[in-house]
Amino acid sequence: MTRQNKVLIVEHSPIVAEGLKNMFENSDYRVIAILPTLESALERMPALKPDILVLNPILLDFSQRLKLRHLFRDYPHLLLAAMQTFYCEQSVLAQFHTVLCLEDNAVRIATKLKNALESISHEEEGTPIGSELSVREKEVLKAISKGYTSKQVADLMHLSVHTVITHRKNISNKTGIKTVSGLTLYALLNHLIDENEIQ
Amino acid sequence: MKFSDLLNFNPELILLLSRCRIPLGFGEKTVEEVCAEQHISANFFLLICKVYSIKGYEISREEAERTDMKDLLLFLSNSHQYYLEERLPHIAQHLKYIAEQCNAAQGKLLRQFYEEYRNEVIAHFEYEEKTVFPYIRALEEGKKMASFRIRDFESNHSNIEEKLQDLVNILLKYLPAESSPKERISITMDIYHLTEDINRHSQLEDHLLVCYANMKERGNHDQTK
Repeated sequence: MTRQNKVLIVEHSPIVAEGLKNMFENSDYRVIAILPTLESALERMPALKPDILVLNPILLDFSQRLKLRHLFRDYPHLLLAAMQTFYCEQSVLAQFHTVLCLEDNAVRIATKLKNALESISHEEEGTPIGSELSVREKEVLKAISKGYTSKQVADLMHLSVHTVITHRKNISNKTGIKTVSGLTLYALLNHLIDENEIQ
Repeated sequence: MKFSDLLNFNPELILLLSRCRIPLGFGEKTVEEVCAEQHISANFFLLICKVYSIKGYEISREEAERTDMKDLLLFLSNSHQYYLEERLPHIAQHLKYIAEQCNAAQGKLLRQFYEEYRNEVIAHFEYEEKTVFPYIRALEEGKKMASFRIRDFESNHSNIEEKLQDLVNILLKYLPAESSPKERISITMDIYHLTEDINRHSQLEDHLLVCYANMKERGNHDQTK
């Protein structure tokens, strides 16, 4: 058998929690703990190091309900599964990688988790959104801020124009800033260039 | 429908009143009465209320066809004036304060950035006022203008929100955390409202002006045949 995935269940109803635990018996998944509140889960996350977190979205309070990914930002590889027992808004559920329902049987749950695990590993291969600029991107950004066009940057850095444009797209995706003057301001605020270098 | 009920339904509509030259103090008058007093079509006024109240409202063909261009052009011009004379200076004032709290180089660039944006907006509005609106008026009077077609406007109708979006990102994400946080939150809300407002404004231009001009251009074309 392949390595067992460690599952942390965060569920306030003992019936549901025990039921879930039963579903995971004799599978690729091993339940390492059942906790009744989100706070206790967050506290014990570093020690337990689960691969999968099964959480009843009801346990998210109002201020947390749309910040699930942020709450678990330190665990980028963690699979977040919702255990839905009541009606829950779509915007809340959308933050989870998968959603389990009370009607699901053991096979169905295993399939949902397997598919979600696969989609996570694909997600990681793409450009990570919200990550820092790479060294190359910073070089391109500096040149753009100094007023060079994409063509000039390409000549300067011995790159193709196409590559420079790709870098620019990635810079805009990461920073959320599209215009040249916006990027110049960004470069200055991040000390990539100083005032005298701006044309 | 009572005019005041409309404002109770969506208080933000109060921002449209001055742009439609509708004064406060309407008492218990109906929407039709208030509009008639100000010589503005009630249908048109209700249409802009719908566009400004319902996100993603789709203007129907009938609504577009019965729109009086005089009402529309007046509203669009007044809106331009409102943005330039009220909203932009207000945001500039906030930004000036924020820039003063930054170091000199950053503050200078922040102000420059906003100045560039403002100039872009001015040029954008000027193009509409001096080229597009007169063209629509000419069409209304049945004159023919060979030099301009409404599709020139469609292809020129550039996106002036991009810089504002950049400004929000810079203010929220990249200015040092300790530098005037309250001002930054309030300016972000101001920019958000302005962006929403300008989006609706563009929607009116893109749908109503273009629909009207297309109809007229086709009519003119058929006549010359």
